[in-house]
Amino acid sequence: MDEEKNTQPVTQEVEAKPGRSLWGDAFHRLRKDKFAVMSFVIIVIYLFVAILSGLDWIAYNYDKQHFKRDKNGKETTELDDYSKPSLGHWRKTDVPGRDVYIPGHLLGTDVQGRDVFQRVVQGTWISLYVALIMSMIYIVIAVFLGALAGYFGGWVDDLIQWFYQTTASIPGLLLIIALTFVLGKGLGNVAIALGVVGWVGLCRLMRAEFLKHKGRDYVLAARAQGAGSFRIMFRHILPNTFHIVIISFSLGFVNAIMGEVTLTFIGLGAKPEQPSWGRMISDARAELARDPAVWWPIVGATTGMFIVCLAFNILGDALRDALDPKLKE
Amino acid sequence: MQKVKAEPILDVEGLKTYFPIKRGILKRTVGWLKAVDDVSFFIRPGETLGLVGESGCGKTTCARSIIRLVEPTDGEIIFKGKNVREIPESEMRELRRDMQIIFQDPYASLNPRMSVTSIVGEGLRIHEMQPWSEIRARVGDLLEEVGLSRTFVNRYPHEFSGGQRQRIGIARALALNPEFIICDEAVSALDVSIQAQIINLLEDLQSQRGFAYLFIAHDLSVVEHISDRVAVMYLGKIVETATSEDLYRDPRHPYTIALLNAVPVPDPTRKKEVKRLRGQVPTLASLPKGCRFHPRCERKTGQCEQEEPPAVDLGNGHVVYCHECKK
Repeated sequence: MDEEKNTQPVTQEVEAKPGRSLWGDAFHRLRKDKFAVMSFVIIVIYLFVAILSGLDWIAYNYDKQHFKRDKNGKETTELDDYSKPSLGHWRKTDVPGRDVYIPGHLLGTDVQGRDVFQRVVQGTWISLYVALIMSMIYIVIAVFLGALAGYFGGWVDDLIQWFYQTTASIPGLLLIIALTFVLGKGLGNVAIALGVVGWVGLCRLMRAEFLKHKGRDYVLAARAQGAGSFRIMFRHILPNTFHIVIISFSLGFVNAIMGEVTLTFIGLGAKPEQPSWGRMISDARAELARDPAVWWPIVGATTGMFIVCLAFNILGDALRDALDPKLKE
Repeated sequence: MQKVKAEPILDVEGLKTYFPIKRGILKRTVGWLKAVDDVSFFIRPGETLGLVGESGCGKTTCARSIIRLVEPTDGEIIFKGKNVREIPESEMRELRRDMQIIFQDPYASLNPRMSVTSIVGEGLRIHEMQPWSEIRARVGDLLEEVGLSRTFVNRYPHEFSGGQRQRIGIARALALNPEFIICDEAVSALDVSIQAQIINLLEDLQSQRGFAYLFIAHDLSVVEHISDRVAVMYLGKIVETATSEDLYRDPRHPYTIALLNAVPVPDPTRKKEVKRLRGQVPTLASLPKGCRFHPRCERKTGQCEQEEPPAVDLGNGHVVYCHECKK
């Protein structure tokens, strides 16, 4: 061994370029997945629409009531109730060559003559707002408690396990209903209730991951360097388990959107005048029973919900594939 | 290599690390797994102590107990005059600057989500609170010291080969300028050619910086090359300690002899009579009475089955724990 004193390793093996982190790597893989990119674009469009309507830049007049027009295209004082979807049309007037364009309602109007399309757009804001608040709440609770339970073990683990097992053993919907009775109705409270109830699944996953990682060599190495428990938990282990949070966020978003719809449907979420998707679907009970059936509000609301939920589902699966270190090609 | 007989930097006395064996729903402790059972040794500044033994004999647990990555059950670990087991965690953190560890598996010991700067500079960040820009420069120096290019500071572990990763692990151990480094099978996971490079690197660093090593391995030829003294471990106990020269020239304990016999000789024409060890290694959970080695020993007597062997001092620091090895 003495003869071949070779302390100069082959440094040319990797040429000097800025390194690419595992996150960068995952992003690169994700970019190659066409469906994931499409889903991402759809979600971005939704976000954009949601923010714009939240700021009242578009669809701000979702509660503007429309009046019936006479044959000259002039608005009458009679309220327009349900009207079918239309692109609008030209109407002949008494004066030749002076036809007027009557703008239609892309998705018709509802019982009070309000434009359904604008209400659907405004519903995007409500849904994403609820989903975002819920996700923030449950992710913070789940990550924090899961990390503590998995890392420290012992009585901390026992206590947290008991806590989430108790939460999980109460039927979710009942607990949410109970919580909204305590907090009061309304979208914000529905979001909080969904978040407070929805953390158990992610917490279990995080606990298992922290349990798995805390004995790994890189964690021991960090401890040997003098790193404290919180530094190890949140600077070392969390980045290695964060892909689970991202996937859970993406798939959980769907639950939040549907949760809002469900709770509004049973009368706990949005107020009657609020244009939430759940409210529109709830109203459809009566509308579909009419003859001829009024189908456009529910079609508008469910289509809006379906597309964004599908996009989140596809993106969630693609993220799982891209971020899971075991599935690397 | 003759070292000045200085006060030991590390003095381990009667170290015991037991793990409880828990059974049933109530998790009652039904027994103890004696991973390290009454181990004593010392290391002087600038010296290398080799610790050898087969897989599962407690080498790694012993190493981790010393820097309290595993809590020892009993015994004294005196490092630089302080008992590692008794000081509070805050003081322990300070002490960790002076004792570092290099891990066996270079793939598991580097955090895959962190850049080389963050990995190597972690200790500097924790202990000296320097800004990252300064840390990056120092990490660059350390990388050059371990034979890597300083342009690697922004890379991530998965971009490196095993040997390069181990060099990063070494750079991390060097960052806080420790006086004592534990090499826990630091070369066992590497190719033979890379092993030689890493061992030479470790030796060069030792001669430049003068720290002490506890060098753990299961390969006697590797240990012979780097160690001043060697301790042989079997089932949680040290069975023989001697200077490297003495141990290889004149091994006494039947287990040491068997281990040395098992080292392959790179000479195809030479036919050696290999004395194989018979029998199974007992589990650490149910150890044999008396000498732990007796079920596999050829020279055992009735005494070996009943009494724990005493320490037999053969002079020049050569100590063997065996009834039959008395002069």
